[in-house]
Amino acid sequence: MSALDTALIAAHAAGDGPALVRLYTQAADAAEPTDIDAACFFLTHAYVFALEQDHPEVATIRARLVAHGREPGAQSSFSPS
Amino acid sequence: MDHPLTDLSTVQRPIAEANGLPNAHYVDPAVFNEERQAVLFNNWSGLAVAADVPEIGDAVPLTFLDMPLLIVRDKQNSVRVFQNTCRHRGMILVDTPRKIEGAIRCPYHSWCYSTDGRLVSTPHVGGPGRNTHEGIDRALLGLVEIRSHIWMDVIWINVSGTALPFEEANADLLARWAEFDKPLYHGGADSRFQLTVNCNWKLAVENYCESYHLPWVHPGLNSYSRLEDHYHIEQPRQYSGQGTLVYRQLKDDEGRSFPDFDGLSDKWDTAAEYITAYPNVLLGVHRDHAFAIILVPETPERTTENIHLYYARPDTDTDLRARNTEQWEEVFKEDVFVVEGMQRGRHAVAFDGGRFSPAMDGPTHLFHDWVATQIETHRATARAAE
Repeated sequence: MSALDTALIAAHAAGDGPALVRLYTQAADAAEPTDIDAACFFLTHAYVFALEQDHPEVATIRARLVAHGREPGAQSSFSPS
Repeated sequence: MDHPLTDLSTVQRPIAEANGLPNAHYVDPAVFNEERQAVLFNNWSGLAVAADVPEIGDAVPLTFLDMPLLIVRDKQNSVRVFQNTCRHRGMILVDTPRKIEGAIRCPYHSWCYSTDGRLVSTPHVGGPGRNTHEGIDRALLGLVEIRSHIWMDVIWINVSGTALPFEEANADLLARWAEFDKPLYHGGADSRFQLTVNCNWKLAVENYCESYHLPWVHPGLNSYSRLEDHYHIEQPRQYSGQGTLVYRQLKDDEGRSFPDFDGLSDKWDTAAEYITAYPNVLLGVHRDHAFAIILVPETPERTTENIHLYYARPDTDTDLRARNTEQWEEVFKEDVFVVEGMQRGRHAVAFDGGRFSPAMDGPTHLFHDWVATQIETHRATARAAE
């Protein structure tokens, strides 16, 4: 198990939202050069936890998913506020 | 379709000839379920108070008549009521009161909703890492919102969506108490309490509506508030209750009382009124405070009473507030043996709903008449649909 996996499991166990956003984004970054589907899987998780927290990175993460055609583009459809 | 067969014809007679609702309306689960729809879901029922969600993002889940609901103060500062279920697989979304920082995330597959109910994320709905699918239109899959309205800080809901707008359905009551249509400040943690009583919810209403019982059940009131100082409040098919002409303010050791609500007419110098906003909210207004009792029917024979006290200013004296809460709690507890005794009485198979004092029970009979009307209307609609 990689250090990232271990850290993710710990973040889930602790309910540490900021860490989940950061770690899933890291996982996406690592996968993106070779596997877009895997990257979008991880980005989706980062996005969901960012949405839940109203995290400052939510728009940035969403923009990456939109760029890969994995989220709709309309701004009004995602804002949680 | 089968309908519980209770004969309500005697209930709707003139009071001098009328009987109360039959026993089945207090003990029979089938009739309880019928009233759930006919009386409580088809009208504007009290659910909670806006003070339960004082800050933006506050979310409180609760169960009302077995229905899981979620009260949320959204990002625009509006109080909303939703079904507390995800549009995906019906999972309960929020199971304990908490603050929603961003979106409401379903704990099952993480579909996310904004605090105003929009579906904002459907992770992996089109496959891993693919968050859209042509079969899933987010615009059509927001949280199911329950029609709601805030008045006297009470969150009123009309689950069926078929009632007249709140202001129309309660126009006369709103006009009667227009002088109290101003900010009410919840007294806080010391100004809310809960009673659980072993009775059908309607018995709490029936007892609240009339002053007939006051000298017997609340003898402490006799020293300053005699039976003849009370008057009936009777608005057929809308609301009923009673008023007093000799309300006396609570004072502390230095003779200080709570500040008055601004702009009240002279009537309220000594008057106070206690009204049931049909079906399940018991309200009281006085020159210096108000209260709301929300009756939550738990089973045919058990009811939770959620009591909240309000003031004209946000900074009332803590000790005086505590004394006021204590005083009202004592009065309401004095009623418990009565409503529980009447409940036990509903298991006497030969009890015929009882009779009413034509002089003293008018407000209570009006409630029976209104309930019967709601049920008859519901039954007629069901028959017409068959």
